[in-house]
Amino acid sequence: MSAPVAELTRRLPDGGADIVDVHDAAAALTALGVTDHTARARYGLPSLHALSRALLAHLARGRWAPLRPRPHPGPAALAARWAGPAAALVASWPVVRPLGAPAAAALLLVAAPAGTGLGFAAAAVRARAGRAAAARLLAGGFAVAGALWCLASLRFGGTAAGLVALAGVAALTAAPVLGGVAELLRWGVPLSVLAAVQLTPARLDDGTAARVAAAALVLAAARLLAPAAAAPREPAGAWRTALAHGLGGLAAAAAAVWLWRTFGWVAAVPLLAAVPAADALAGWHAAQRARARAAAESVRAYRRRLRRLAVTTAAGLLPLPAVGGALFAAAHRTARDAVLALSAGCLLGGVLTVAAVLAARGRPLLGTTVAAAAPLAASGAYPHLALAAATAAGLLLTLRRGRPA
Amino acid sequence: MNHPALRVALLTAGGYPYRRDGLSSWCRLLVGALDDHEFHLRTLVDTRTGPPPYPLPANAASAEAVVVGPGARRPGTAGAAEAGVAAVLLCRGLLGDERHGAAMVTDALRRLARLAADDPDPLRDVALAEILLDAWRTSRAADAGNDRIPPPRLGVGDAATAAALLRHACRALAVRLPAVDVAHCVGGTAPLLAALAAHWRDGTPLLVTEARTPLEQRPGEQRLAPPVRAALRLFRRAVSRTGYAEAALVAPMSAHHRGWILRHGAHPATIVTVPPAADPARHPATPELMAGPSLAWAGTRPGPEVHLLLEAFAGVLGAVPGCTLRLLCPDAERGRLRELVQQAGLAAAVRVDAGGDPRRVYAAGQVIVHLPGPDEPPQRIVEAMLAGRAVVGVDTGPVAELLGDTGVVVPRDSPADLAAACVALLTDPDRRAALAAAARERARSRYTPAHLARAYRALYEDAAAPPVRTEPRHEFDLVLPAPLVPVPATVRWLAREPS
Repeated sequence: MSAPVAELTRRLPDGGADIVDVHDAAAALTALGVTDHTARARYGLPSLHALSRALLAHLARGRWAPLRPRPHPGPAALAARWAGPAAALVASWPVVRPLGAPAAAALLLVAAPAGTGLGFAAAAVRARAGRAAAARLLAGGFAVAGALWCLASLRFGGTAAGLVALAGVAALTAAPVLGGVAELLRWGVPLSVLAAVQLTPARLDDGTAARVAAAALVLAAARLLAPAAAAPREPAGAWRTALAHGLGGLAAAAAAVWLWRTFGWVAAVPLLAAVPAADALAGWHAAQRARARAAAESVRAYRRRLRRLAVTTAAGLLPLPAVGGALFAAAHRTARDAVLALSAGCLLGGVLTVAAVLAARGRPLLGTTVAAAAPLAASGAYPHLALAAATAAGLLLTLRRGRPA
Repeated sequence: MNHPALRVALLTAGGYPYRRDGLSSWCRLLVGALDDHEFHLRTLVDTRTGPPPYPLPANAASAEAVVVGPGARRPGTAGAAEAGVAAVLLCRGLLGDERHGAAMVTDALRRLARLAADDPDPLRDVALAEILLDAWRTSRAADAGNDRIPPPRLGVGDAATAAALLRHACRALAVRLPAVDVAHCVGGTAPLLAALAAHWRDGTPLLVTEARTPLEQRPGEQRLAPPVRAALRLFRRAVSRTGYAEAALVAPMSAHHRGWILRHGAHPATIVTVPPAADPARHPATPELMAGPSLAWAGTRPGPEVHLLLEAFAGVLGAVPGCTLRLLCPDAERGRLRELVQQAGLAAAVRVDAGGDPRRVYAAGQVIVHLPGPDEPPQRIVEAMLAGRAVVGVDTGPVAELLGDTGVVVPRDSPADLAAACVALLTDPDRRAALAAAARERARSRYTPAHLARAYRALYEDAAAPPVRTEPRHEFDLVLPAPLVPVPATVRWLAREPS
């Protein structure tokens, strides 16, 4: 008897996980087309009611398993997904390098808000309206960003390169939201091989390598955003969320440009490592919070999990400011400008990581304030101290208990 | 016989006169048929809606789409403690056993209705998610009994979602009705809550028409997590149970719905089954078109029944080459329906139409296939019977009892049987014509606006009549346990009704 009932359970939506009593069971069986006659003929039970009770008994056995929230990519996978776009940049560096610093800064000011804002908004849309609606929001948002870049490129040049870069940012943003991190990692393999080949004497023609890298990035983005084709309209409020989080991205991009102009290109080197690290840590933090919300069965248990998560996240936030502080101390002994610049880069990387984590905790305005206030405060007499103070303040805010549910 | 003119508040959930669907056309028929009564049409919606697509009849004194929202609290009012007690009663009642749980939910809703008089969002200051989690854990630990199992595990996130939905639902208790003689609720939890609040606050008698069962899932709810769906369903069922117990009369549209209502605590003496109706003048029989064999289906949204239909139609095409299928669905679902047709590889033989009126599609088919969706009221089968076409229905809900022996009824889970029934009718014009005529005659004799008007006129009068004294007569109590619930006049009227 249990085998036919088990087969029946598999036909129910979600395996009958929402069935609570015999009325629910009878309604679910009726929706499958089971009648008194079917119950007698196929299941050997006298009535639909008897079959409903048999179904309940079967379902009751599975009700004691602990909650298992949806698995999510770990921080290493989140950070590693940057490898593909980074490799594409390396492979096409001889082509994009002549575009110059102003174009790169302008592109950063368009791409960072788009990636940050649309990433958070799409995650919220996915939870409410599904994957296709999130893909539609991302596709629409990056189309708007592309149009903005086309306008900006009238002054700075590099229209095609900028659009390809935006496709890369779109792929980076879409992968964790739409469940495509593994796919983006797979795209990263040939791109990394291409970049490695370009660093050897057996390199391809620069133009060919750049075209191959661009095509791979655009294809990856198109594949990830493909569900947008059959998507319903995004829920109300999605664009407002994108704007709130986009301001944080804009503040971070502005801070990076400030660092570059104040301390030179050396200072931006730590940011190249800090940005993927910040993104991975913030993504992991958000996923852990979501897991805690899904798995905790009481508010007390949820708060306990949040406290542990805050401590772990704070530990993850410490290394970059610590390196920045150590470099600052070393630079004072050696009085080397390059070391001071690296120190500033590390410290700003710490600030941006803290800001990203705050945004991931549902505090986008606080994150924006931290990211924007740091360069403003650092434009005074002691920029390193101001950046360290901003990091410390952000760390304290991170350790504070968040909203319970 | 003189009937008093009554003022009736007709309550729907996003329906008449603001939406065109099966239940709205039933409401329209009812309001039009009872032109001596004054109707106040109220439909409860979540977002603002446009003007009504239906022209309002002269006896509709007012029509309003009431947006159920948080609103502003009246200054100087505070009821956090009372709301907290109500929330605990509500959550524990939802998960309690049928008798005690129902009493707790009724108590909770009464308290919330009182609070809602001053605050449109009576649960705004209550940590509802925490209370729900607590009740859920207690319920999982308790002995569930034979007919119940522990509810699925509920996490904090899902509890927050469920709490937000319950909080929103309870805002319907704040909806104010005009001064009327009867509040008539036609389906939906939100209108029932509004009617219950009016009943408790102002003593407005309540009449409930049940055309759907509250277990059925609303569009979009399949996205919710199973425990959230379970919480919503328990809430809807508990509200229905309260509504059935508090209503002066309950009018199911079929024996199928009557059975549901009886299983959920309604007193048999308060239940009067009134079958659906459609106007034969608006649904004239049209001669079959000479365009070849064809089937027709009209539905509200593409659900599992469309898969069944398409699978069966593939079988029909094998036996009757050149057969076509006309489908009708609301505008919003047209793309999804086309997608399903393309996935089934039947695009060449299937035409998808969009719009509210099924008459055109029914006229284009030789056989109407009636596969009601999960939340579809039984109105559409009567329209199908009036179309002058043979009807093949699946055995679900009230289809078999309404169709009787004037159509073909096949099991719900058998596309082969559905295909065989369609093929048999498509290849036998005489039987097709005989069944079509019989179905139309059955609808014309049983499911007419005149029947509907007569039944509801009596129901309104009964519901609006002053309550019969039910105080126990102590001198008789000792010797004869007389029934305390009087049999309503409607039931007496039905007993007199010639068959």
